[in-house]
Amino acid sequence: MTEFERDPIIDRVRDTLRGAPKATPDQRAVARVLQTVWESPRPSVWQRWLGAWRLPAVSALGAGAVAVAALALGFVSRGAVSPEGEAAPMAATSAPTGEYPVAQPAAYDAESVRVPTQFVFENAGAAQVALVGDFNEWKEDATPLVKLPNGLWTTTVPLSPGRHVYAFLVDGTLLVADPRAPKAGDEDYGREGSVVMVFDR
Amino acid sequence: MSDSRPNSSIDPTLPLRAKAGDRQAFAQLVDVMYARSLRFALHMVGNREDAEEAVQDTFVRVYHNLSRFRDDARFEPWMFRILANRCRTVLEKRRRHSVVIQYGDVPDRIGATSEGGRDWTEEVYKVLDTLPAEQREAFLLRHVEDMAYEDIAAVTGVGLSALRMRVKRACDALRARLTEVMRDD
Amino acid sequence: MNRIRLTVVALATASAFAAPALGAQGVAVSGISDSRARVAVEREIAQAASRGLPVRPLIAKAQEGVTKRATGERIRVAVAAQARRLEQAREHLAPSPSEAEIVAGADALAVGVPAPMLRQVRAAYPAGQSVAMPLDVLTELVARRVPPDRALEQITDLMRRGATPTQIAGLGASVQADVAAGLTPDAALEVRARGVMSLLPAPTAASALAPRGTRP
Repeated sequence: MTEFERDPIIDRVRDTLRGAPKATPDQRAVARVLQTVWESPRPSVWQRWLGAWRLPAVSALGAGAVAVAALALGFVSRGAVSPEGEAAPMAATSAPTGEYPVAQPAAYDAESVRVPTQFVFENAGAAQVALVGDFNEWKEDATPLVKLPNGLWTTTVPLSPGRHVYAFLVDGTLLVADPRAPKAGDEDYGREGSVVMVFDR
Repeated sequence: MSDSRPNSSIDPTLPLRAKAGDRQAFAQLVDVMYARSLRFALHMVGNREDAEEAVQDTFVRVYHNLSRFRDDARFEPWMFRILANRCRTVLEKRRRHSVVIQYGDVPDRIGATSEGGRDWTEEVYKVLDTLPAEQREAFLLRHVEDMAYEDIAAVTGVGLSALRMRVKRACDALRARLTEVMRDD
Repeated sequence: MNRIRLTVVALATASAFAAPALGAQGVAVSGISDSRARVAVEREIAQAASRGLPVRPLIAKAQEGVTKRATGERIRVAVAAQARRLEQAREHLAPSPSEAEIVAGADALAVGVPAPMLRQVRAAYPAGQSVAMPLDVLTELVARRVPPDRALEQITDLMRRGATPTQIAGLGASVQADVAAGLTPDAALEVRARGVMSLLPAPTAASALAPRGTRP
């Protein structure tokens, strides 16, 4: 910093300006921004190059319509309309659409039900990958994944309905959370893992 | 959680993941950058409504232009360039429509209560508002966002010596006006 | 580092090698290299067992620490903390909660749900109907940063109106996905709860008059 910049007045100004605005923006503001972003139309190539595209105003009505559409999508995707009679194990990781682990069910009720849940991990270079979690008591050798020619590792595990925390153990040494799943905090060991909500329908 | 500390460097994989289509990564980027962006915009344009619009507009452009973000680039200067641009556009528009900003029109400023004597915070904002936009911009980037001059050059597209001059002039103006106020404290 | 296994040996009678704290059902843990810590962990588990707490989650907690390469002492602290949570959960989910309910309650406590809220969840279902799933969903909502008050109110409301564990689970999964896509936790919870609500029978006059649980 040059001489004319180090200055008690400037320092005080800096503190004042750093402290504002007082009302720290909350999650709602961030969510509103995100909603606008997701709804915004992709500008045409020409518009992007010229930098001359306008932002459509998002009315309150627009935001409500998005919520309703999301609700409808949610019900459809959770199998209100099921493609086949057979309850196939559902991918517990994101498809290209970026969905999050949700298992689809077969039978019903009680804590003895088990829902087949598929886990997928991408790592072409690993020699071995294991799934560890609350359902196999975090044992390193209980649930190895199988490597596919395309570099994906996978396994399908019967899980009881409910919330499960898990992670992948790569080459016996590196514990990795599932990059495509919501994070699970780790109160006790500080190594966060991933969450899958399993339920039957 | 939103972070308003300058240079709390963001996880460099976030923009890359967002670029690859990871929406959660983009959401995290917004979460991390929102407070700082809003603060800069507020100081630049002077009222909350315009500031929020500039910030929102910025994130939309960031999202749609991520494909042009170089993998080896740093995200903050890249994003601030877009943000500074948006703020300048707001100011331009306002000037063209001859809207006059009264100091009383900025309810979101803190410490605007002047109980006899001059209030430090109010005076800071007064001086800031009277600065030419490019001096204000350079000052905010340098002293509030703590950006290196090279980064400010990338954000503004202006040469280093011109930038230093703008910052100096802003500091001179602040010092001139605020020395008296400080004496009154 | 050696691959470490954690094994549990149930002893019919106390053996000469068992720690003094062992009761009728002994627990021995092998594989934590720090022998002092290992003994301490065994003692924690044995004490919990003697208090009638489920042992399997404590063994899982210890093994989790081994897999996560935690120090022996850290594992002991974690197991003790988990035992406390299990005990608190059992107390607040009385009478006679199942192991699944106790574990779900402990998980809720671990993410910061206040213990009295467990009682409220318990009260929202008829006795005998498991509240493990609603507790799991409560945990997940709070983990996604829905304020605990809000989450509790929404879940217990649905429970009292007859929502099944599956419907509540669906709510949890949907909110999880919505938050990941950028909605605020509050907004997501509200819209998804409405969705489940629309599937439930309209409240009868009696249930409409039923007093809501008081806040803790």
